[in-house]
Formats: sequence, structure tokens, C-alpha cells
Amino acid sequence: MTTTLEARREAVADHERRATRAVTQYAVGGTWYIGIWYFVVSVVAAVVVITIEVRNGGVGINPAAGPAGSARFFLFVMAILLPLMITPVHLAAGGTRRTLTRGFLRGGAAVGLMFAAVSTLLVVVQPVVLGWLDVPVVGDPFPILTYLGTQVALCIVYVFTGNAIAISYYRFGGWVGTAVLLLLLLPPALAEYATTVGLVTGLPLPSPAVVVVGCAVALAASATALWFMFRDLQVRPRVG
Amino acid sequence: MTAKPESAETVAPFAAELRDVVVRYDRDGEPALDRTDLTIPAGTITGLLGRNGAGKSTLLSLLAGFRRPTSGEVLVGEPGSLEAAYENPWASMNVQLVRESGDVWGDERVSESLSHYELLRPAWDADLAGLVLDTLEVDRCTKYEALSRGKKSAVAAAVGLASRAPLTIFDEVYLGMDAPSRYAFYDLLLADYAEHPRTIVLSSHLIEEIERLFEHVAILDHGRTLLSEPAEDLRGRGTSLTGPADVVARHVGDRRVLSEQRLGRTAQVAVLGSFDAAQRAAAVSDGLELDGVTLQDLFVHLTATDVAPAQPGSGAPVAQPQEER
Repeated sequence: MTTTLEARREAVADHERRATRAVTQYAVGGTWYIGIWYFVVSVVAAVVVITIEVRNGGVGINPAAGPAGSARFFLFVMAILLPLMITPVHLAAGGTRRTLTRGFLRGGAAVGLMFAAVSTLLVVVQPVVLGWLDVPVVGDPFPILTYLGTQVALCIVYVFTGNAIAISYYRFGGWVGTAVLLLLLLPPALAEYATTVGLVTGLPLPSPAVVVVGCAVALAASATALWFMFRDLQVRPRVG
Repeated sequence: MTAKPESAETVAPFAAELRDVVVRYDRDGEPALDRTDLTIPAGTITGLLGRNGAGKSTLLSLLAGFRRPTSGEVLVGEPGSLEAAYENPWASMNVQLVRESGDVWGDERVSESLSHYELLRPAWDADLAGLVLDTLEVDRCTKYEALSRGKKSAVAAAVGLASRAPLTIFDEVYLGMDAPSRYAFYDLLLADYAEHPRTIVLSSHLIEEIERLFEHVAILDHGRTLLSEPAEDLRGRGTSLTGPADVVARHVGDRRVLSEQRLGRTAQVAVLGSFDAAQRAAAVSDGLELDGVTLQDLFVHLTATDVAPAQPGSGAPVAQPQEER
């Protein structure tokens, strides 16, 4: 009753597809499970803030700030939580580190795209709503596609980095994990610099080449970090 | 969800082998496994015994590819085609390690975790999982964290049995169960093993109640394999004598006593070593009953601190107490 090579190859390929899909679905589903509430709460909070500002004499509102601009930080937190929950279960169920890596890469890309799309939609909708309320919109106008592109890059980089940080602490513990954290934060810092819509907003606007190359390097670096952290992950024993 | 491949049900029981395996968790600390060699035969129920800290859980996590050894080889697979266990999808999909913790999502309903296993395990039997949970009275709609320790163990048992993996490993999963649940689990395990032969490894401290299941026994001690042999051979290493205390004492002589029980004038004494035909005939003619000893008595003796552990690199060695005959 020995398995033939052909049957085995087929079974392994099928298994890896299933395992990768399971992780991808978990990453996307887990993020949206809470993410939907993130957007609801953020929008409600933004409405409350705008209402208060309007009642107090009216100030300018930048549509890129608020819920639209902070989605990546929410994704970052979720990306730290999810790997710790699924990794032991996935490996116990017959998955591998490779399927974990692929699943989180695909899942990260998917939620990055989705959250960037929703953020962009908010940016498009917000000036319209503010116009109805006679609230002036401040900030330089920018092409929506450029905004979408930079949000996609930022969101995905933050997800990959969050995943890598989670596994880094799992693998290396507190002290080394914190040291590695500084390295792992370089890709999002680069993406922020390249897009200048995040933490380093005071900097001059980079050229399009800097934006494209910076985002590409940040994406590649964060994906590599994720792969590196997962590829040799050792599951801790529960008992001696 | 695509249909599972037909080969899922036709994989032969796996064997497993450790060759000169060392595992260190800390660079300067004692190794959890120290140049361990071990063979687990395919198609058997193997009991993995050892005292606390002997390295059982570490060894089992190696077989499941949860971690790789510091040095040495860990191989699993169909007999004649063993291959590395670590990060090998063929091995991962066909080896199921169940730990007491269950490796399920704590804040989700039990059914959610079972769905994940069903998606990944090629030979998963959802009906069997349901049967185990029903028998052990676990509501699969309850969140795992809300279950008692015994019910959590029951979930782990369900995962292990329903996976029908060619190498299924239970690492102390039934410790949290009460006695009726444990016996129900043993019955379910034996029934399903008879119907779907595979290799099962059971690690437990409850040796007395579980030893009837073992066909093969491996004992770990201080990170090394003390012995690995068929359960019957191991039981034959000792002899149990029952009868009048003074007659028993005469036949025990200077043999090493493993355990002794007395009820009035009747004694039951387990000794190390076997009786030859003449000795056996003499004991029987004196009215004694002779039998094998329990694995627990042998285990206690073999892992006592005055019995030297096996020498490294000597295959799967056997302890040789001086008194053994």
C-alpha cells in the first residue's frame, strides 16, 4: 500500500493549496472581523470631531487625515495579533512554514488592497460631504490614483511588518525581539518617507521616482522580513 | 472547497526514526535530547514513557516537524522510504501531533478549529470527530476557552482520532479527562485503530491503565532512549509471583523486587528477571501463580536513579541492572 509518486505529488500540491488558502482566508477574515468596526468607529469619530469644529467657528478639514490616513496603523496591530493565533494551530493541522508564509503574503496583500481602497473611497467621499456642510477643505489636492497607490504600498508594508514583528518576538523573546524590531521598522519608515503622507509629513515631497522605488524597496524588504521570520519558526513545547 | 485527493485514504502507516538526535534549548543548558536513537515501528501502538523532563514532548514535537533537532536526523514515512520530518509537506500532512493544549483557537467555537483541521487533514473523518465529542459530552458550539480541562482534552482527543493520520501522536492529551472519559477514549481509539490501522504513539504517565494498549514500548530517560522493544518482551523481563507469602519469599530468593503487595497471608511480588522452565515448574508445584509484570513496575525500576542511562551512540540500548537474570 505504498503511495505512488504521482499520487503523492498530487496530494502534496492539493494540500499546499488548501493550507495556503486557509491561512489567507484567516488573515483576511480575521482582519475584517474587527476591521469593519474600525471603519465604523473611525467614521463616527470623524463626524463627531467635524461637527464640534463646525460649531466652534469652522476650520479646514484635510480629507487625507482621520480614518482614511490611519488604516495602516490598524492593520499593523491586527498583523501582530493574527500570526500568534494561527501558527501553532496551522502547523498542528498539517500546514508548513511555507504555506504560512504564502498565506500571510497573500492575505497581507489582499487586506492591504482592500483597506487602501476603502481609505481612498473615504478620501473621495469626504470632500463631498464636507461641501454639503460648508466646511472648507484644506490641503493640496492630489490625484486619487496616486493616493490609492501609496495607500496600497503603505498598508501592505505595515501588514507584512506587523506579521514579522509578531513572529520575531515569538522566536527571539523580549530583548532580542525588541532589537530586531528596530530593523523591522525600517521598511515602513522608508515607505512613509517615500510617500510623505504619514509620520514624516514635514519633509519635502519626493520625486515620483523616489515614491515608486521607495515603495518597491519597502514592499520587498517587508516581504523578505516576513519570509525570514516564518521560514525557520520553531514551535515551543508546552511541557518538558 | 475542492474534493480531497483519492490517495488520502491509501497512505500506509508511517514509521519513525531518530538517529543520534540532540536538542538544546539553551546553548549552555542540559540537552533535552542527548544523542538519542529510536525506531517506532509502523502499524503499532507505541507507548512512549519517561519521567518528567525526560524529553518526551521534545521528541514528539520533532516527529511532527514542530521543530528541528540541533543535530542528528529525524525521519518519518512509509516503511522503506523514510524522509526528514521538518518542513516536509508530505510528512506534515501525514503526521498528527496532539498536545494537551489542543492547538485550537481558544476564543472560537470548537467547531471552527475542527473546520480548519478538516480543511487540511487529508483523511479527516468528521463523523468520527462528532462521535468522539458526543461520547465525551463536548458541545462543539462552545468556545474552547469556556470548556473545562477535561473537555479540552476531549477536543484534543477528537482531533487526534479524526485526523486518521498515518502517524498519530497523543502527548498526554487525556490527563485532564476523568476516568470514565479516559476509558471511553481508549475504547474509541482501539476500535478505530482496528478498523483503520495506523501508527499511534501514546505518551502518558498513567501507565497502569493504558499499558494494555501498547504493542511496543520506548522509554526515555534523561534525554536518551533507555529501551525500545515490543511490549510483550518488556513484560517478560520480569515475573510476578502470587501465593502464600512464605512460599513466594522462598522463590523470590535474591532477585530484585520491583513491587510487593500483601493481603493477609497472600503476597504478590514482582521481580526482575524471568524464571526458566524448571524454576517455573517448581514454583507452580508449590502453589504459586506466575505471570508477567506490569510495565509500571518495570518503568519505575528502569528509570530509578540507580540504573545508569544508556551510553550515547549505542543504538537503542537496554539497561542492564546487575540483578537481572
